[in-house]
Amino acid sequence: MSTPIKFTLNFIAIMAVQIFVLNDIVIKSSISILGFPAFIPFIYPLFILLLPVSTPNWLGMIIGFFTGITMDMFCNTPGMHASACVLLAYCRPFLLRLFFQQNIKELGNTIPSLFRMGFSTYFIYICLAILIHHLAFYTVQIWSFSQILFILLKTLVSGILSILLIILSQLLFAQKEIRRS
Amino acid sequence: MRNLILLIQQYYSFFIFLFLEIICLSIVFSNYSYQQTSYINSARNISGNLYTQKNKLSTFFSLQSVNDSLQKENARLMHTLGLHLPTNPLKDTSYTTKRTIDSVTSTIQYRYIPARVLNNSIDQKTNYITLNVGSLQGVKKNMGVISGNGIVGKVSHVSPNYCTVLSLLSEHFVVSALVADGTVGKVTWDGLDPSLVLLTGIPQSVKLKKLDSVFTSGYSAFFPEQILIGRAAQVMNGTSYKIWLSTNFRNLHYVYVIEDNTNVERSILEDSTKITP
Repeated sequence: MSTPIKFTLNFIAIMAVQIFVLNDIVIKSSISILGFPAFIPFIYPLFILLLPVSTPNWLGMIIGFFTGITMDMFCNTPGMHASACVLLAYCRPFLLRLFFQQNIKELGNTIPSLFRMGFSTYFIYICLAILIHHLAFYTVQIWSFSQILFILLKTLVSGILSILLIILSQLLFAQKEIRRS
Repeated sequence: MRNLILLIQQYYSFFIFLFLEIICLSIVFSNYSYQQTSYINSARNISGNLYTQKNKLSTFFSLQSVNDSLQKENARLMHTLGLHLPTNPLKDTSYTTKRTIDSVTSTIQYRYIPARVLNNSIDQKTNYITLNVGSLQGVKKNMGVISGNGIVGKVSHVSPNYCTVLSLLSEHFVVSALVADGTVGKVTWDGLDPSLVLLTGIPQSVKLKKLDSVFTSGYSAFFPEQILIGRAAQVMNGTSYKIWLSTNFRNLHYVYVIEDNTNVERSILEDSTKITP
């Protein structure tokens, strides 16, 4: 399958899971953990993180922009997801340079996945990326310095669940690579 | 000039980043006050259609709880029919219609448009609900929305077949509330727990007890009088109280959009008294 079609299908699948399943989790479950505000995990930044290493930075940011705008349309949040996604897409090459010891150009079209990078490296990569995305998103959403602790709390509780879900989804769907290699 | 081009070439990705980020943030801040029209909302055709499909599937799984809530509401309606209804001060005007039940004629001020909830959120600072009715069904901006248990919000955007409702769980949403002895206060949401709201502006001389009910007052242009908001849960300080919401926003399936037939006359009168700068 050619790469653009594969990534379009990837996009539809990830967004469908995010919009129709994860956005509903918080509403349908009547359990409210004591003291914690309502939050939802965001799995859709995974789409930006799964782009091939060789994707040029400008293309990554434009893809990030459209991913965020799609999310905004379904969540009634004007531009908030889009701004967080553009920031994440901008930071992505720096994160990759941090964690890939080899030359980026040699890697070419590889997708940064769990089995390619090794568990601990991948875990830190996801953690940093999710932290950037969530912090940007909740800062824009809440937008007040007096509530900085609230922003951090929301980033933390939502981020932990997001990281868990992303690692789990990678364990489920990225297994083909390990068999091939 | 050449240096400038070189600079742009070197840092082109940063400039694209700035450009896109400025677009995003301008969308955010142009829509920050919720009264303005948002171009990105789920009353659009594509997202509305997708939500309808999803709703068809998910209503099947929640048939049991929906049946229960409908049955409860039926019981409540039957109960009110058997009791003495508060007399309507409006007699016969061009805005009201006449209804006759068992040879008793009363005037009706409100029309209820039944609607199904397609999408709902409770985790944001300003929460919206998408409904499956729109301007073709007679929904207009700023109409009130209630559920069987209590108030829900008011309509903020309308498209031909869908509308989005600004939920009571929103930062700037203020509802005028009435406690048992006739004191009027304000109900707002503090953004933390989706089952608690804050009642403020009650004088210290008025003491609310736990589980005292709080109703909407007639001051609000969106909601009818005497609709339950919730029950007092906890005293914050002398003048503010935490209120348990009677509407369960986590489990919202069927709501009613309220069309107030007299609202035209009222808003014309209220607008004429406003001093225009």
